[in-house]
Amino acid sequence: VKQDALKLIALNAGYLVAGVGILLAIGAARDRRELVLRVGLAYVLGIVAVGMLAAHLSLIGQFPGRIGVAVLDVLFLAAGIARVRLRPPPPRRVDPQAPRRLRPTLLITAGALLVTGVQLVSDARAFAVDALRDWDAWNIWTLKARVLELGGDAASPAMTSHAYQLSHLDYPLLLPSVEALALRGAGGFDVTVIKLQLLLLLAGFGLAAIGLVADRTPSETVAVAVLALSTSPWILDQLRSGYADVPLALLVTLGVMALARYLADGEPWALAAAALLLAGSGLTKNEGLWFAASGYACAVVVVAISARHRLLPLVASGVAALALVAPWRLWVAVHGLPSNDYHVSDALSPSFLIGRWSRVDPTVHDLWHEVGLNTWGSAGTLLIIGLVAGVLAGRLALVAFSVGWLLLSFAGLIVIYWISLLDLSFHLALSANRVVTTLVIGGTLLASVLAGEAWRAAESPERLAVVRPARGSDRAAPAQP
Amino acid sequence: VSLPPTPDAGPLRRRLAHTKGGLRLLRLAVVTAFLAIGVHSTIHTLPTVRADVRAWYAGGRPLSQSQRALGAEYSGVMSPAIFDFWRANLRPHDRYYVLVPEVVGSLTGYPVLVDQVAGFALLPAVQVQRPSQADVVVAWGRPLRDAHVPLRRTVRDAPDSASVARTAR
Repeated sequence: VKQDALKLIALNAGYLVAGVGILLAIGAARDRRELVLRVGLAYVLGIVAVGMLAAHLSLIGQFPGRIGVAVLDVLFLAAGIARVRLRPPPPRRVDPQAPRRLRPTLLITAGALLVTGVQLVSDARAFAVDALRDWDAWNIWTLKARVLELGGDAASPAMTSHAYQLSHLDYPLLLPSVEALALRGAGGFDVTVIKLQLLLLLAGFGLAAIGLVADRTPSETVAVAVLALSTSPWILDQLRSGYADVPLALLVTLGVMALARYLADGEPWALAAAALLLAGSGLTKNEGLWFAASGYACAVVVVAISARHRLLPLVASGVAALALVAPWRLWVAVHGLPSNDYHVSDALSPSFLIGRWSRVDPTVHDLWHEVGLNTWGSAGTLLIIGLVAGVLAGRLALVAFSVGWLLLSFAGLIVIYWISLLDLSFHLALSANRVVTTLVIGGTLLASVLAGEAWRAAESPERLAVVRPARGSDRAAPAQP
Repeated sequence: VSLPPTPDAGPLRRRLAHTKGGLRLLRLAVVTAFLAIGVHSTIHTLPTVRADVRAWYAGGRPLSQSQRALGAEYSGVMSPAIFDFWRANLRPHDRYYVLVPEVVGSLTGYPVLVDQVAGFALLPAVQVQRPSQADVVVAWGRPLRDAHVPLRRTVRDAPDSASVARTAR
């Protein structure tokens, strides 16, 4: 186990290297401070980028091995360095309202990170000896991962033939790809590396979430939200099951947080990060595409009303995300891989929808029950407080974006159960408690961002909200009200 | 965007500044509530998580690596020894057909369950849906002749009543 864990850590260090390259390339690490701040984001972007590329390579039968991944890592880093050399990014803007460096309350962030870290180490001991017991984990995700690990070809009959239809042939390949890279990295099939890889993703998520906002708002609120979520029994239980719902939730959450960051101050790197993360969501689970589209749709509406000059980059980011998902969707269409669950076209058929109207009420009831207090404790309360904080901070655009994304995503889930081909009770019992994970994690983290905005507003309400250029910069840009 | 009140500010400005002070307190109160509830939630759930993690560790530690790969549901469908026997008699990329008895009262059909487990357990060999497509028939609890295809070279595992036969294609 120790040897496998070391190999896994080496593989993940490679992801970090690739992610640093991506940060440099998108201008998210303009100096050493930003690089350190966004190390978690670099790691997650590295996993998503390398995993996505590997998944796409499997479509042409060229899934990479250990050396291939190392080459990809270095290529990403080289691309980032080349970008900085050829076209240096503008210096970091100094925001007078940004959190001061050493506030006493940073102890809250430090404490939250410490407790989260200790808990994750404790989780790792249990994850390392845990069995692959949950049905969908091995029947869908790990089966695909093993096929990629063994043959490296998505055209294998085990991923395209009717005999494997119950393994959901149309489910996307990012998670199996990340798992297969871990298996190849460890040198063979070992459940331990799969589980530990998922746990590493959760650890990276926490740091990434803080890195997305910490140079703009106090990081304490996000750190506490991360702490509350990463010590949630339900999230850890789902994560160890090996299902894709928590990884999906983590990517979607970071993606919508990046969109929120763009809405807040127009940082272009946030859009690039959002494109990659939300494309990763669309390549993790089919509903991830809807969550991502909901994020972009709400952001477009908010920007069209409040800051039209930011619309074009936002649309370009959405198109880029779509382009990254396109190879897999084309592959599914070309190979005629069927969906066991639902046909999207049914959502556009009024007669079909009317005929199944009776499914809506129980779906809404069950999903609402699942996002309620029973399972998720204080997540709902945190969301409401976050929204109130956003209003008090005057960040109405962010509040509108958060509420819009949550409602649109929730509506998407209702539609899925509405048009589902499965017996409703069976389908809800099987999955309702899992599919809401994205809404809960995403809602809680967006709420923490809004609370951070309120803190920012409370700390310096009398200052002029003007951004001064950093030393050596010839540019001054106004902060958004 | 707001201007700070100047020392000679008029009554309107003074009132605005006073309101802003109240707003600031309100913002801080809400942020404090957010932090307090987040921390309280963690304090509330942490003991449960720690107990869960201890239980997972205690449950998983005695398992061997192959048992971890099999999992509880996996071995519940059929004895893992049968899958081991089948796997030992398959070559990589063999196409195999699974022959098992129907079990009355099974939720999704017993053969379907076995097919799913075999689909994972017997990789990289590939499952097919008809015996006529198969290089190998793997069976348990049913005679190989039920496959209705010409067979050659049969291997039997007496203790578990499992068998494997190459087809004569």
